[in-house]
Amino acid sequence: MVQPIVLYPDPILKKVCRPADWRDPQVQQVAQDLVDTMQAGPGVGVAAPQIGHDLRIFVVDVTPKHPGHGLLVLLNPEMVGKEGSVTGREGCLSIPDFTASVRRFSKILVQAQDLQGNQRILESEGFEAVCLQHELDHLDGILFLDRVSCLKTDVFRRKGVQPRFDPQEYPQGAQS
Amino acid sequence: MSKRFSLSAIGHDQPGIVSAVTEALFKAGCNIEDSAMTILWGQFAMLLVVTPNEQTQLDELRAEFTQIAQKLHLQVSLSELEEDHKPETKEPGVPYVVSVYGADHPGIVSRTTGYLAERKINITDLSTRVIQAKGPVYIMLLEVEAPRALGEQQLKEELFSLSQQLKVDISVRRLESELL
Repeated sequence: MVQPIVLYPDPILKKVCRPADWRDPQVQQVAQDLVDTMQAGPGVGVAAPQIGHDLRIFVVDVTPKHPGHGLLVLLNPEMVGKEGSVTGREGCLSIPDFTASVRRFSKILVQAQDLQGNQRILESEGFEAVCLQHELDHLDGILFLDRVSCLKTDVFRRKGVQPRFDPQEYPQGAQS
Repeated sequence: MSKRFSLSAIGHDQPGIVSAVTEALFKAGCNIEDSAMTILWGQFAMLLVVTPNEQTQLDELRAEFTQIAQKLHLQVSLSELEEDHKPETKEPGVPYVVSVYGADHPGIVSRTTGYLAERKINITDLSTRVIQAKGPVYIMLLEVEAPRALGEQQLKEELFSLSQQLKVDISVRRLESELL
């Protein structure tokens, strides 16, 4: 069933979630609710705390708009490999109407259980990998606001970096 | 050569503000060295550092801006900058990004920046936003430069205790600039 999205500052969003047992009927129900909620909304991933359960479960599906594994329902997922880095703008259903630049690994290996208790390892890259990292963080009470990598879009220099033109050298100023 | 000056303008957002302001500067022979412009609460705000040339008549420019201000309903302010001073040669600090967010209440910005000032932590960038989530939520993101003597662990612990006093969430991490 589609569930309402929990909004910040609900304390459940800052909690470290408990392991999920696939044999527990409640876990199966939460997983189904996550799928229904994701498919009913604009998000490409939803984690259990976002619908009010402190369980280590999330769902992700970035297809068909982006390449990926299709629908993923992951229990007790862990990142077991990571490489590269990519910065992109992220938002979150629980923090509406706000996006910021976040740096993530560009390619990751995730080990998780499926709903039948089978362990699987999946390799993911690009947008799907970013999405998986965002959802993994939810299970540890970490929001994307805790990972903002820069305030602007990283295009320009920061304070402390010398200007391109030494004002002494170019008294007229560089022509803009 | 006359001194560099700063120009600030703010007013209800509408098309044509940047164009009007920069056209006046261009015609007066001024060069825009640096600028930041954004929309704050529906107001378009611009801040520029400008270098005039030998032909620039500051009085004429001021008169021109009085007209522009009236036409576009802007508050314009123009002031000469102090002589360029070389930044003191101090060892560079350690850059961090700090996120502060929580249910909106007065004092979040002032208490946080009060702590930073006390610790001689320099704010190099700051932006804030109020969003509607479960009630209004205040989000403040800062880029800061901390003295080397202040360790990362200490900074994190002190910001954590501040977050508990303020009943907000605060997180801090090193700002790593990527050079590709």
